[in-house]
Amino acid sequence: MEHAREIELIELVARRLDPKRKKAVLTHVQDCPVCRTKLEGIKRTWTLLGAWQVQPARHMEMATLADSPRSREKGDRASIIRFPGVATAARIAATIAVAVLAGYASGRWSIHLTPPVSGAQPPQYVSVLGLEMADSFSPLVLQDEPSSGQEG
Amino acid sequence: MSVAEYEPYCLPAAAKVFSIKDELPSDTELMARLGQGDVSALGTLAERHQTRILSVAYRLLGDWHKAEDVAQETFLRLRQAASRYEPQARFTTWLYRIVHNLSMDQQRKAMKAPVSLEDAQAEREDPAQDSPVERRELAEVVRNAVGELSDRQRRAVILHRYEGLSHEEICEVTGWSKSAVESLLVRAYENLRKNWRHTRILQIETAGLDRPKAFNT
Repeated sequence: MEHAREIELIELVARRLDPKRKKAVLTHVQDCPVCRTKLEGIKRTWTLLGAWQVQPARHMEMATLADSPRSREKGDRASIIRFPGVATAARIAATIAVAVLAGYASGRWSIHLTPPVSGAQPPQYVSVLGLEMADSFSPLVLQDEPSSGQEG
Repeated sequence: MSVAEYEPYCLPAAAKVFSIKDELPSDTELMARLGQGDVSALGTLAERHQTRILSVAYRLLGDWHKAEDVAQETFLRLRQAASRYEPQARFTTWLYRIVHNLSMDQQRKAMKAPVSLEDAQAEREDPAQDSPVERRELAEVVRNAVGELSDRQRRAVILHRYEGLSHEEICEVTGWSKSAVESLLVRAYENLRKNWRHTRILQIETAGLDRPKAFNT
């Protein structure tokens, strides 16, 4: 009994064997343990090879690059221009800008807890004590000081 | 049912509208248009074949950056050759021949040039991080096993197993004789079978991966 050619067994697994040969090889393999073992080995190899699939991560505009003026020059090679630091620099700049804006906003609202009311009349004791020319914090200081009558 | 059979039951204009063939130009037609200066045809060709070109170049070279260079150079060659392109074989076979030859040129250059640390880093970053460890290991083992084959055996297996080329097409792409291609394939698959026995692949398989799933690198 003549064994099946190994290349035919490979093509059988690859499903590229012509129907006539396929039938003949399959008939032989059913009765031949040697060829059956070989076929199993090829099948396993074929299946394992399938575990290595590749998927290009980036889809570049290759047609555009190939059409660039530089690439039109005969013998010249188009090259992919990469700026690895630009994205990082942009991220850092954006972070700084956000931090500055946040700091400005929080600082603005912490200084003026209550917006000053224009045209408000000072308390009467200010004029009594002659403090009209004092700065705007003076009434607050006086107001917060405890009266001497309540101490001790 | 073809459009011609369907025609008695609908308006001829409608039949034309529904004929998908009319809307999709063949690769040869696109090459002719490109030869006449229609650059948009190059975009369509790129869209259609880019992934395939990148994949085969990556498998041959093992480096995405080099694969991208090869793919880009391939489209440049297409553009330059479009005006004198005469279809003698299938367009994809011709395309594979360009990719194969450019990859071999790239490989020769790489063998002369020293390996930089940057390249080594890029390679380590390639595998997807969100995949199960076993599957990644299996893909890595398979990739290494293919990489350990002789140069010609590796090229034959990549074109045969991953690109689905027939023996005749591999002959056209590589310029080898049919008997050489068949001999290379038989030896390559045999060497891979032997290689599996000496690697961790059995452990990985017994860990529940008897039927390996596809894994992207």
